[in-house]
Amino acid sequence: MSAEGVSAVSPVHWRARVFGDHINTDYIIASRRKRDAADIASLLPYVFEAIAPEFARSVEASDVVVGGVNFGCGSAMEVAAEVLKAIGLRAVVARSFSRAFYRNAVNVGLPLLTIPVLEAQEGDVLVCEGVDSAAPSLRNDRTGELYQALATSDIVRGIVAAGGLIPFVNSLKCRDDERSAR
Amino acid sequence: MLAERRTAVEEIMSHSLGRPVRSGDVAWFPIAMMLATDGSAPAALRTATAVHRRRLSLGDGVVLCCDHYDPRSTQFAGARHAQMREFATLHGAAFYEFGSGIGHQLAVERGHVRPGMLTLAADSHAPTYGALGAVAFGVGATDLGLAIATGELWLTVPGTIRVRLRGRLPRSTMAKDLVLDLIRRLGPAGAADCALEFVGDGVASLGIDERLTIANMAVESGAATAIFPVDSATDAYLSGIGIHRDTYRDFRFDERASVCEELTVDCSTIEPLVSGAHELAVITPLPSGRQPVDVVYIGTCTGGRASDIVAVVEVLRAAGGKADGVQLIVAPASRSIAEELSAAGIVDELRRLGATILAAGCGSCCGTAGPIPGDGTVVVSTANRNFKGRMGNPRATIHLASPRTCARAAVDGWIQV
Repeated sequence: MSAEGVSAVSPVHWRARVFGDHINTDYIIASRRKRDAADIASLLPYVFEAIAPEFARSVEASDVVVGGVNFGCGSAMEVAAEVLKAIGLRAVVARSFSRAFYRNAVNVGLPLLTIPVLEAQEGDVLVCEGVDSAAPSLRNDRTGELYQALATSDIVRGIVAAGGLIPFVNSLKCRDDERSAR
Repeated sequence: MLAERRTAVEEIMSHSLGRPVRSGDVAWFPIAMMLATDGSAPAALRTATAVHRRRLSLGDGVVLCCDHYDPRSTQFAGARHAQMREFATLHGAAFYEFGSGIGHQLAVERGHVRPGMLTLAADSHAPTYGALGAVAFGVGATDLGLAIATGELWLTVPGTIRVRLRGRLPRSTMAKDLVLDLIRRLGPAGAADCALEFVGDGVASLGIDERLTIANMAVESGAATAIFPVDSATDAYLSGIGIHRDTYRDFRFDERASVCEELTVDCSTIEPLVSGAHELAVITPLPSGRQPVDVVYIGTCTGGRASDIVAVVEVLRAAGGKADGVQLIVAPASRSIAEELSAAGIVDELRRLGATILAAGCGSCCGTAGPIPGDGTVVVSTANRNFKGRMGNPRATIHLASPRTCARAAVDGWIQV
């Protein structure tokens, strides 16, 4: 993992798995599946089952989900972000995210890029530079278009850099403890 | 220097923080009430335990509700509920066993929400509490766990869309029709990241049940939250549940505060509406083609209150009963509501009308605690979501409508879509 705000890795190449607008969390994983699930791994075969039943079996190492507007709308279930991370997706890129899904993805360490004008087709190669930085860039290899992802807030970058909400908060606690010990 | 003019959300969040904030500001806010359901509690409590920054003597600030999972229909529910009960006993949280009701209804009727509070729930329909003049955000389990452990959460102050309500709803329509109309106008993301602030002379014509329905379903327009003013109806409701006027503060909406957008709703022109299948992008008035209906579902945090169920019974009673072949399922939003209806003879009447009555809770809404519709089944429901598979079967079709419209469909055996 790179230091906060600075990307030490070379550009990453992703394959776009494209979905439309208003993809809700029930479509990502149905509430009914959660009911009898012992763990996240048992949910993975059912990711997107209602709208793309072949998707779960087809995820490959460099895949990212590309959504339209309002990705992750509907229920605030955190498991929707967890399953997308657990199934091996590198990131989710969308024109906009629902507020609760955005927070949940940050908290579980699923990288998100918000690009309001993104154009991509299924299978496009998307080249991302500075994925850990404040404002990553994304180039669509097929069209040649270069996009700038919207900048994230300091708190969000801090959480992502720490690897999730719990490590972030615990690191704050260490700083507080150090300060009061001095 | 003029005082800043603040929206309701800015006022309440500023008061919680102890310094002025405006839309777009990010800060760590103290949270007065935080609720988790059995859907979100296991992960929330795991996070709270992992973070562990304060002594967990929580009074009634933390509320744990067993509403999504029915121990009769899944073996994992009992273990979840036991874990929640144990945490509540150990740390002093409020705990509601399965059958008590839907968390959002319990939060309101058991006095956990008061005007002017900043609250969270690990469930997207938290904004329901806005009906009582509180600010409520729906968050995920990890966020809620952090709030339980520390009493705070980082939040962004949302912008506001001011919705001016004029006049009153016609007798044939209900609050559900008003909020469906609003979603039709805004679209599924039209209110993204904004609070919907309801003002105007039309507010006084809406009872608390109606405000709860509207605040609840407002989230389907992408709204971050929804909020109503506090008036004599709010005071009367709270007084009725033993919450005295001097235990909550007076605050005013400043209608001159700057907002992202202003909408006006002429309540008198609202007509009965129904959604298309699988999404809320299509919402139409009733006269059109006829769609045979198999299941009519009355319940959920949107439409499971006493006034909703009474409206249903009135339609059925006047028509002499439901159509053969229509399954009518009724899930009261809380045990208190069920008891109130029982005392009024409504539960017996529903049984005579052939209704199946579920335990108070989320029931069939998200396919977790009630009957699951079969393949090819058409459901019309008082719920707030109809995504494909929402009630547990992607091969069933769900239309959303008001309790009265749903009752009409039960009588006719079809709905006009």
